[in-house]
Amino acid sequence: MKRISLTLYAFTLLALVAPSLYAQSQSIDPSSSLPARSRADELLGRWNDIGNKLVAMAQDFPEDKYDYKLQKDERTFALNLLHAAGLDFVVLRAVAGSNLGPDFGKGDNPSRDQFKTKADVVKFVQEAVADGADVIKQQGDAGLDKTTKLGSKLHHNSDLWMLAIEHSGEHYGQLVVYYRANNMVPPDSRRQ
Amino acid sequence: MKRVRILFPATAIFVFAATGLAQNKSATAPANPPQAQATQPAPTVASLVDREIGAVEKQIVDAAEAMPEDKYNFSPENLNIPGADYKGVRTFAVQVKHVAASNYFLFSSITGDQIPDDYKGGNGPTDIKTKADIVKFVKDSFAMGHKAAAMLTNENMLQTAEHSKSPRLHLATFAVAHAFDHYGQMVEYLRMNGIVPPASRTKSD
Repeated sequence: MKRISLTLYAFTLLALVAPSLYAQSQSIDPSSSLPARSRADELLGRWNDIGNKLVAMAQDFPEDKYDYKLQKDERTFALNLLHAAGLDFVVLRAVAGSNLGPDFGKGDNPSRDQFKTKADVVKFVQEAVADGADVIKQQGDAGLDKTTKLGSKLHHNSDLWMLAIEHSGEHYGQLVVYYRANNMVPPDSRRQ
Repeated sequence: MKRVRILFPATAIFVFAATGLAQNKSATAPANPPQAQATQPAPTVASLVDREIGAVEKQIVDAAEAMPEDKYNFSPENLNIPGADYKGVRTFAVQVKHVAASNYFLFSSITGDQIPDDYKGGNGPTDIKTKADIVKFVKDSFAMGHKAAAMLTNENMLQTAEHSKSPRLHLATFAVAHAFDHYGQMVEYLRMNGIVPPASRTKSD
């Protein structure tokens, strides 16, 4: 952990001691990852940060609860992870211009029929995070300013990467609530 | 989100729409990813970050407005779900206030704005209680975000902000990522109250 400012320390301490400030997921400590040395480095930090949180959840959640869902019209725990990683693959394949990772058909909703076990899901999420990190590192800052055709439109690669990161963050937040519904504390919250 | 939300979430739709890149929600994944890439004039870092802030702002504000005021103090703890442990988790109102307070903390580090201590971090001022006030609080926090984004340049984005130990770009993107995490939780809170999140209502499913 890097040095924390006095102000930030005060907030962190307050969050620990005040029940009303009970942290459900991540804190607002912006120094929790390495400072960027370049735009690509900053992006890589964001990518790995949320990606590794999803990997940690995939590894941590009991396999017999993988098909749990909180509401009837939602994805199960496993399908949330497969969907988040699936979109990662759609983005990173488009940006890389190659079909990295396993074939899971069209779209971004891999089927449980293909990823039946917890180990299958964990591996898929891990591969998405690792492959994306490799592409970001390989392409560097120059890659962020390029455009990629996805669907019928051209998109700036930086927009595509942030889309995937934000999308993962949203699903991470949903899974935080799934955790608590199962009397479990999300891995990222156990460190606070 | 909903099981049938196929390729791009509302987040994506918003970002792409905002950039003139709107596309259909599904079946847009290319069977064969494109090989060719071109370089075109890049948007500025300020405009990129501003779009990201705008995207999460829309999600958060729409969700905040969708929750009825009499549900603002809802917490999953209220449901007494068997086997669950939601004891002490944030209420919906506090989720929104936490996003706002975090925004103020992070963005003011870039802008240098002087703001009340209880605006920065944690869960925000205790005297902001009504739905209208909370929505305003979070909207204003994103307004500071847009101001912060406009101050980012290629020269300063990787430099440590004057009022922080983190680089400006890092502070800005962290704020966006943090807000999306809590947006995901707000989505669950809405659904627990039988409310379909606004971002999911336009889907044809």
